[in-house]
Amino acid sequence: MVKDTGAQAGADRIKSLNQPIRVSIGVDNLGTPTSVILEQRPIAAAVADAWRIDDEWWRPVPISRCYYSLIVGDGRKLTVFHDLLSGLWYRQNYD
Amino acid sequence: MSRFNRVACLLTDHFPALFERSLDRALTHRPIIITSPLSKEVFDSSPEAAQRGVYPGMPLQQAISICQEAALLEADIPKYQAAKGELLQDLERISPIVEGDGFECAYLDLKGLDYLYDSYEALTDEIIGAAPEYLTPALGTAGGKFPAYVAAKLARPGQTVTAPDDLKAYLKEVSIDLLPVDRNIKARLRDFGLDTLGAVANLPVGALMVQFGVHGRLIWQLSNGMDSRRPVARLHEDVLEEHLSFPTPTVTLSTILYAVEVLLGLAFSRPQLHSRYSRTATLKAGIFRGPAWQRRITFKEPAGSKERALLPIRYLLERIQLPGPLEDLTVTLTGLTGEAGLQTSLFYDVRKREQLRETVRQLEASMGKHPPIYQIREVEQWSRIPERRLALIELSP
Repeated sequence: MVKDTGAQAGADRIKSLNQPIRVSIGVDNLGTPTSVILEQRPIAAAVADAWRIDDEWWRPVPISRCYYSLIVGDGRKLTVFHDLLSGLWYRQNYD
Repeated sequence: MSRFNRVACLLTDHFPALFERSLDRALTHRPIIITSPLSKEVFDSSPEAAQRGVYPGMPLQQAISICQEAALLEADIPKYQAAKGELLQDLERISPIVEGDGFECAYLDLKGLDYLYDSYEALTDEIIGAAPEYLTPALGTAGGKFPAYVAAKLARPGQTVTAPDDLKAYLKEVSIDLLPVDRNIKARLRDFGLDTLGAVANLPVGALMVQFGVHGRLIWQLSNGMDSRRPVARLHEDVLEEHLSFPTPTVTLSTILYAVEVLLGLAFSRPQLHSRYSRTATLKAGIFRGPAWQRRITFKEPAGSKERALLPIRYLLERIQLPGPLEDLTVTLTGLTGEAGLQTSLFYDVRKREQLRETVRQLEASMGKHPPIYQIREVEQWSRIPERRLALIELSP
């Protein structure tokens, strides 16, 4: 007889990767990012690309995000998004 | 519910203390406090000491001040585990599904036993009779483990109590002390004025979860009699054990190593180990005027011969300080592999998977539980939402 391990199978045994991380963003009067707080200091950022996704409308909390691909002051690439429902900004790898 | 379609809880409270009392007549009329081998805390106590307020986990100084005339004994856990193992084996002659829960109790599944016993009373008498009388066993039966435990706690020694079907009413006046949660949680329940399971059951489950998290849900469910858990049978694995006694207690390393070599030679010559490998060896020794000593060794690779098994054991014994002269020695080989030898595959991918499986099995033997190893899997690689594309899934070979 194989002993029941007692561990419950289910979605809790699968962990998502690449979760968004809160970030502080400076924006202009049109809401476009102009700077980002990295390592506790503001760094200027230029927008290289922007796109919007609206998805999972059937869920209690749907997805509505405006993504920006930024080039920050030291030449690094950074992807951030503006959550259009909560108004918060996050960073997340997109590729 | 049919009385045979129930769970039985055989209660053996104060098992370690009563077991020590059975070995030494001088302790018959004296309270006993068993001290933890790793810390200055109480491991167990006899019923008389418990009635005075001594409890497991209590600081030793405090316990001595409460019960000054108590005999202090150091816990000999391997000995208690062996005695409990024998009790569980005796219970498995009655029911095939027996689950031990520490030293305090054992659960049996009574389902299907009506074909083997003339009456329910004959079955319960047999279960109580399986435990030695000095353990003052009591039996409780119910539809789930927790109510069976409560029924056993309410029974007198030698008595069987069967919980009714209406568990919520039955548990109403029962003290929260019987809940299987930490002492701190019980203290907090008392701070809220919740002294009985009935008081807890009257609260909404959300309120308890806000205060106690996942424990809050468990507390609420058990207080409402919602427990349909059945015992889970023990996993039986092949175990090979060899034992010898020294003519006189010895601390000489060369003598001990020679004894280990002899015992390993005997074990590996047994037919059960023919062409098989062992992942773990356990050394147990009786110490002269001291509690038994035990050490578990997990081999980096399964050992298929006396020479392979001896290397890590010799390395360990040359570097540790034994607690005293050894009176006897037992070597137990466990984690026996199924395959005869280390079979490899011609195909690279298959070999890599087999190596990974073997590594996970070795880690499991070493850690005593499933190792936290995960793999990255593509879930919805096409998704526009980045966090939906990949997931960490527990590796299960």
